[in-house]
Amino acid sequence: MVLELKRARPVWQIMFSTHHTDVGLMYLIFSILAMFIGGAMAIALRVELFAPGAQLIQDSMSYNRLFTAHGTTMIFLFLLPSAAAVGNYLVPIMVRYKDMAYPKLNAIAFWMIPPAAVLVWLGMADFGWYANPPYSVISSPAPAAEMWIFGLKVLGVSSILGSINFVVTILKCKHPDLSLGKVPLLAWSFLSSSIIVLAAMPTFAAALLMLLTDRLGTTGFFNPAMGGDPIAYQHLFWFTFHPEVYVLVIPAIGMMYEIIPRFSRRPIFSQGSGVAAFVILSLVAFASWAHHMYATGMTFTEKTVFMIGTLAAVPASAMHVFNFLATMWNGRIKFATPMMWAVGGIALFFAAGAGGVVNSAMPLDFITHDSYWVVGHFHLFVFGTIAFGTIGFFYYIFPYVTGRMYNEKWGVVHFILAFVGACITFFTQHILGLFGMPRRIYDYPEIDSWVSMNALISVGAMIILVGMCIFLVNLIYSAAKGKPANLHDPFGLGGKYYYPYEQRNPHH
Amino acid sequence: MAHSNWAEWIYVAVVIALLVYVGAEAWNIENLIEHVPEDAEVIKVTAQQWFWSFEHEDGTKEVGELHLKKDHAYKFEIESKDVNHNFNIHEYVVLLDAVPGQINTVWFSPNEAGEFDIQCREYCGLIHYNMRATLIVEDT
Amino acid sequence: MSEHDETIWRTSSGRVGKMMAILGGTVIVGAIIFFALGDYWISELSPAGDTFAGISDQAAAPVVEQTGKDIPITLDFIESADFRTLAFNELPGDPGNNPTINAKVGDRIIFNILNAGKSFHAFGVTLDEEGFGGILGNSAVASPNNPLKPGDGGTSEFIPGEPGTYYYICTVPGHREMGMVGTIIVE
Repeated sequence: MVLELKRARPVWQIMFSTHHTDVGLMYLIFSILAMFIGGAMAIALRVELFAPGAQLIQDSMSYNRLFTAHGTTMIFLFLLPSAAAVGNYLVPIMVRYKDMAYPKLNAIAFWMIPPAAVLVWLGMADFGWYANPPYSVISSPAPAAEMWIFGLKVLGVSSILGSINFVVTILKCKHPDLSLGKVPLLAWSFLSSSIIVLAAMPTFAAALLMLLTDRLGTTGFFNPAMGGDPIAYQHLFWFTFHPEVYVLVIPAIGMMYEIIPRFSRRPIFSQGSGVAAFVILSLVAFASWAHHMYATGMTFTEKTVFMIGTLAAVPASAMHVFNFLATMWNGRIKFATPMMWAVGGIALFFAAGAGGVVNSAMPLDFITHDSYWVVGHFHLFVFGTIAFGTIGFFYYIFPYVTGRMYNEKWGVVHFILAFVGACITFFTQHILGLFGMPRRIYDYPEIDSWVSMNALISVGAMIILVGMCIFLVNLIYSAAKGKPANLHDPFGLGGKYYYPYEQRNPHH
Repeated sequence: MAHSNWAEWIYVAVVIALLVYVGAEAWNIENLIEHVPEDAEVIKVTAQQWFWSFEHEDGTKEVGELHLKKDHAYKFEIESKDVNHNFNIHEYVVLLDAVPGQINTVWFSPNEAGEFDIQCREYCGLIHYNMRATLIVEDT
Repeated sequence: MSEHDETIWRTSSGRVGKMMAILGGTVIVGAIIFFALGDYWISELSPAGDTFAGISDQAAAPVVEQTGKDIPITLDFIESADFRTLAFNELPGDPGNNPTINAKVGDRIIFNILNAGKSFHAFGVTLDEEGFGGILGNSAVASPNNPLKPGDGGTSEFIPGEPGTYYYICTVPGHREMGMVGTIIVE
């Protein structure tokens, strides 16, 4: 159970292990690998879009497959597993239990992911990560599409199994002396996101099955030629995936709740607010799905209902931002690398949310729908908030996982490059969308404003790439040869601030 | 709470007020936009992989081009023959999905003569990126 | 703090290195498999897609024996600069645009196809008066899902067994409507 440092354990022992720290380590390594693979795909896309005409990618089919794989990889193979990594490491310790509630199920949930990834990556379907019918039913080539469908089926099951584990661990296995209200906010974030997954994911599982039988020609759920309705799929898909984006963001906010109070050397402004905000967000997440479908021909009443549902989730997110800022207020802030990432993440979270309010306003959505504004908006969320929070948290737990410190200077350089690159790339994409450029296009006509903005965006992406390469080198080099860390206070904060591993856990 | 959090309540109230304003204004404007004038001329828009074709009320057909008159109201009845597309005249904020099996309606009245781009705004396959047409608005 | 507690979180670089090597190796093997099989992954259409496109897998029409002469013909896919007009060999208005082929039952028409445009095309002969389905016999060169890229070409042949009017078309949806169609009159 305890990881012995005197002699490195054989790799097969880690791979067959069911201990939460080992499963967490495997999730961590897999998610970082997927992050770089998805990132490489993004760089290929941006190199192609640098100027009109074919640069790197010679045909549109390959481009279409690349952006589909990029989206699928980043969401399902990077963001969800990285949250699972953090949760697996810390949640049992935070609730003062010896492991997750079902350790073997935990390992199974992890090991389903690599085969699913193989299915997705070998097939490289071309219909975008939404897989909208009728295109995905009648026009998208086989066997790539079926492989994607099966891969996502397996990933969905993995998500559900992991969520069951988190919910049972937090609610049923927590130490009897620990009241639920006092459970750290990071654990609360996993409770919220896991409950959302349990409620939302089965709908997508159903939609995938229907998509498969439609492709086989047996059914006609979404195929108008057989009497079906393509919009029905979009309802099913977004009923899962709007809450799912909250599943992605909530753990990252939880990670920021770990970093910000410590590095501000102040307690969280309001634990109660944090809990309330997570609970409200989890509930209201289900009220807004069809804001993705304003342009499908919905009636005025339908659009209004979903606009209200979308706007209703904003105050809960705003409560988190207030909590963070109020925690930092009057604090003796140490701007070490994890803190920079967390604060940068809050800033970009705010910008992403503001852009989202624009989209939710019905008339304004008709300017921004399916344009690069949307691409910039959601990347500010997934990269600017979630990846920032996650990467900051990776830096934070690095000394605990490896016993060594990463190189602080290069961590700062990574942050600056990523932040500047993100601003250049994603804010410019918002403006490009206002100029009308659609998304998911392999090439674009020689409109001056589009050409110059696309070039700028590609440059921004290269800046992020440089930062990520520095990150990779920092991770590997420091893990092997970094300075041994002072495990009582690796960041030199002063020592009286609670670190998760110091939790009094009777089972360790 | 060990400390008062009146600041938080005020902050949340301000956020909610802003959102109510956005919601009400959006409701108002969308209501105005969706009211189609009676004299709007109907143009049938057919989307298919990977080009646009149009049919005027008098039966004239156009492929890849659409000739309209300035300051006239036009109502587009948009349909698709195969997969989802999205009919978009960006400069006039005309945007609506073309879904096979249903007809979606949107109207506009061009107030400037000239040439404008029509593009597809929903991924529809191999040549989605080049599924374009030209709107030519003529002075009356 | 005892040594025991402090070692809970650590992992050794050797372990991580081995895991990375395993992962990296798997990715490389996967990439080799992916590229070695090339277009296999996107080579077919779903059954529902086949139905939609009118492609059925009923037995091919009975093989017609060649009893007449060979008629070779070169057909190049070309596009107008604005991509609005497509054609074979020449744009509309120029001589040689979409040449009409005259043949007798039993002649063998040999098609030499080249994609001289910038977009994707595919070829086939059909009896249908509109649309992109109903491709006959072995007349297809490439397919809408696996089309000819610019500069690619191929050959196919067609032996008409019945008199009538056949059409040679680009089978990419929409291209026939944009001008890529010509007639084969068979007596």
